[in-house]
Amino acid sequence: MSEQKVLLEVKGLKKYFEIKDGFRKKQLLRAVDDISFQVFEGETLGIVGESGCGKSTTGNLLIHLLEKTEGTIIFNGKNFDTLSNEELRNLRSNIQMIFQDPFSSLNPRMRVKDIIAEPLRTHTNKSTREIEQEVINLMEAVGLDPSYINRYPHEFSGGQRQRIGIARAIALRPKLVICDEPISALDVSIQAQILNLLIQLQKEFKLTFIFIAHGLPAVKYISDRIAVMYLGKIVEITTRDQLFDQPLHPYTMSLVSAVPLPDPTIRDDRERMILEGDVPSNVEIPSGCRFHTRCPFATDKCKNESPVLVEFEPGHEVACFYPQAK
Amino acid sequence: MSDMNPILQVKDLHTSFKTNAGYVPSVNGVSFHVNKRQTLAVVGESGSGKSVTALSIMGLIEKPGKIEKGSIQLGKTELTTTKEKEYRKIRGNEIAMIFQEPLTSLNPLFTIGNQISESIKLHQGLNKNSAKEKVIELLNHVGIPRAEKIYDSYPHTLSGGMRQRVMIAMALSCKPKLLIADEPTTALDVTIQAQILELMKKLKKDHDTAILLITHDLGVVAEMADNVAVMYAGQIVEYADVFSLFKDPKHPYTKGLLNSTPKFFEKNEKLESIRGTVPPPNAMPSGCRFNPRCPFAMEKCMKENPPLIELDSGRKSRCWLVEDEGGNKNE
Repeated sequence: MSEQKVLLEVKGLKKYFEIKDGFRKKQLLRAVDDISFQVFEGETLGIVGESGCGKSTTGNLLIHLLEKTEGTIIFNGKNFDTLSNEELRNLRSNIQMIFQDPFSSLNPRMRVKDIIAEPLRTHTNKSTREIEQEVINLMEAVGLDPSYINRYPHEFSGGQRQRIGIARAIALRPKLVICDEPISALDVSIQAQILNLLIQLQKEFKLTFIFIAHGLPAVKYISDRIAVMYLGKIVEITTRDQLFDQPLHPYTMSLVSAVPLPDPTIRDDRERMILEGDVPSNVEIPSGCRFHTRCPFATDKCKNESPVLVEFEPGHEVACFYPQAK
Repeated sequence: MSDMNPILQVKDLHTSFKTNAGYVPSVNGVSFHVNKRQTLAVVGESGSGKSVTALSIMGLIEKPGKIEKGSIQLGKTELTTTKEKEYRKIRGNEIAMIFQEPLTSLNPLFTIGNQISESIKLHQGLNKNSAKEKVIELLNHVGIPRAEKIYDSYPHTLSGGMRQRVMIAMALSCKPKLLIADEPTTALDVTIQAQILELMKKLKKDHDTAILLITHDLGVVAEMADNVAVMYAGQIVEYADVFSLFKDPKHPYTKGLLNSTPKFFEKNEKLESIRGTVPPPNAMPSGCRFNPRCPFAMEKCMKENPPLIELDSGRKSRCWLVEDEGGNKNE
């Protein structure tokens, strides 16, 4: 694990939005607030957290859909900031995204072949025939019947549409694919199909994934390492097994214990840590540790000082003054 | 599993919607019952007819839909023949419902207090002041802090979890015998979901409410249910108590659903999936409705749709395979 090549390095990434709230003065919404992490080549990094934790904003910053406020993003040895427009275009073909809602992320007036071919037309010089052949190959790779090539998105089910989105995302053989809640809009039996497809494609095309989701079971299934976000910060990042066997941050512990498990025999004696209250707003972020308002272990120190992400044990970083090692 | 005075008894319910191609059945011969202090979970994917079943019970099927056949009994009242005027006395009073998206279920133009006290004033004939007292008590009961302040707030100022609590407070305001919860936690975050599920369990205990829980999440089912009805393409394909269902699913569809749910604490297991997708209601396959996706499909399955076969243990499965296990046909 240690000698793997770093594909993406993020340092001190911030994204603040200015919002105007009626007649009140402008306020800052701190969606992503100083996060740093690395993604190794060929791995899947899961990012979990509840709504408003900044996980999707992070994804959008990485593909440059949003302009960052501060911080450095180094992809494949190249710093985003120093790139010319030409290089940025090139970079984009190496980072692709799969979106949550397969109903709104596909243009309803384009045929499947045009949807999948669009990145090929924009970024390559292939001839029309080559492109069509490539589209057929891609459709086969994602498990779509190539005879549907002339159909429109509305003629497909949710799972099939997600497959179209995946085919489009891998069309340029990107190095990094950001999957933003790719299965949460799908039915249970289809979710498993898509997860398995992603894993298969990762092997076949040597992809690196960032898998953003709020559902822990799916993230656990697909990820090698997992970062847990809360209110714009990473509170814990480690390997999948460590995160579930030995969660250190109280928030991670509560997330893990809050997942309803498909096993009724353990429901009455399972240890649970049910948090009180709601996630605070990103505009009025609590002082000190952001989690202290809901944390059962919070002390005065937590109210005043903000913990930073430090290595607790090799490959296991946590931002907490009192890591709850068992 | 005794049938002693079920609160709700549904028998052979058929609900259809009129489309250009004629009436298309969405719920096709569904029967079940819910007893006092019991939670029946109805599980299924989109298009399985689970929500339409709930709306049928609430009397909320509007044109072009209609209940074509069957009976829905709440206690001794037959709901399918109840007139709208009578239904209004039942809805919100004896049966209450909470929905998936609490924001769209609340009226943005009225305060929380106003909306909850509406049904109390209507059904219980309380005056304004005693209704307000009652509402604040209810809000406290469902775990809303600063209830007096929330009473005068508008829905948009509350978070998703708070709104769902408000919906639950509203649903409980008249101490209904039956609470229908249609995907009550699907729109909520994990930690908030845990809070709401805890709250529902507590309410069941405190008020003897029967709960009809509609969900697609097998984790939620395992957490909450006493009995489970698995629906597929408008029919119940398996019915069992929650422990037997998870331990030994009988129907291939139930097996497939369980196998496609990540087990969470087991490492590196391979997730199985069910091939294909749910057929649309106007293009049902002949024979068993699950046969195009079933790994065990036999010739018989293509020709004849199996009845819900009852096993000795009281469980039921709509599958020809169960017949070999000594099930009796009985529908």
